Amino acid sequence: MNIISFLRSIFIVTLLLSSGAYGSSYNEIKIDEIDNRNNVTRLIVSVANIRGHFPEVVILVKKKQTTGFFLPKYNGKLVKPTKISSNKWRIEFENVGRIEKVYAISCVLADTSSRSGWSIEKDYQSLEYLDFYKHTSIKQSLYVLDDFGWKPTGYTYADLTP
Amino acid sequence: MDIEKQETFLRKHWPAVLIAIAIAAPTTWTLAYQQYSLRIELLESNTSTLRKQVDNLSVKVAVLEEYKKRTSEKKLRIKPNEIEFDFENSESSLFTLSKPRIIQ
Repeated sequence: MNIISFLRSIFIVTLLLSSGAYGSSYNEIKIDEIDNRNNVTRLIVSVANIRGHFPEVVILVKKKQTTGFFLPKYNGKLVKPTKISSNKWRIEFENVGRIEKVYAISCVLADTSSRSGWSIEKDYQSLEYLDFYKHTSIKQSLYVLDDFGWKPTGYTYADLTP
Repeated sequence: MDIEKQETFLRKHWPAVLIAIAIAAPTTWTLAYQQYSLRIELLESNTSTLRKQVDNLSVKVAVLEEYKKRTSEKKLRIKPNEIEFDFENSESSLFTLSKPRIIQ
């Protein structure tokens, strides 16, 4: 084995390892249906490739003429998507302003030991204080979720501009 | 100020002065009472709004402290292959295209 083939094998192994870091925790997430009537939006989201872990779904809304993202609310309170079947989630929220895009993000939660014993619900309600409205790109929001222990495993969006 | 003139006026017209005082005093008192009530109401409302803000901020502080704690833990746990990842442009992209049925 000469030096070039040795280096090449190291490169391939590194590549495989690095792709495995996220490839193994990827979830295909899709927005199946958007019902946007009477100032209320209802979404059906499906998540595929759930291998051994139980994802949570986070919805972020981008409004027209705003740069940041907003968590959906109903009657002024944050609403969390509800699991309606093994791979489908549903959420209903009020439209405050005109919606441009709706992002659906599947996340895997960090183990409970690093969540100070916070429940998933409390964790989700805490997302409100992470200032998503200040983020100019979805990437920034994904990083914040990741840092908060909600590791994004897939995301998608639906464009609602006519 | 001519005190003698005022004395004469009061001697002549004391019933009118009494009636005027009888009308003016309660009216002034009522107006003052209402004004203070309004000011107290406004102050109570301001206090309650600020109290809500304080509660909200204390929750925010707790969340941000937790966020800081988790980020610090992550900093300690970070592996070389997690240093940089591009969510949208690299092969390990997390993005999936959606073609939803839109009802509007």
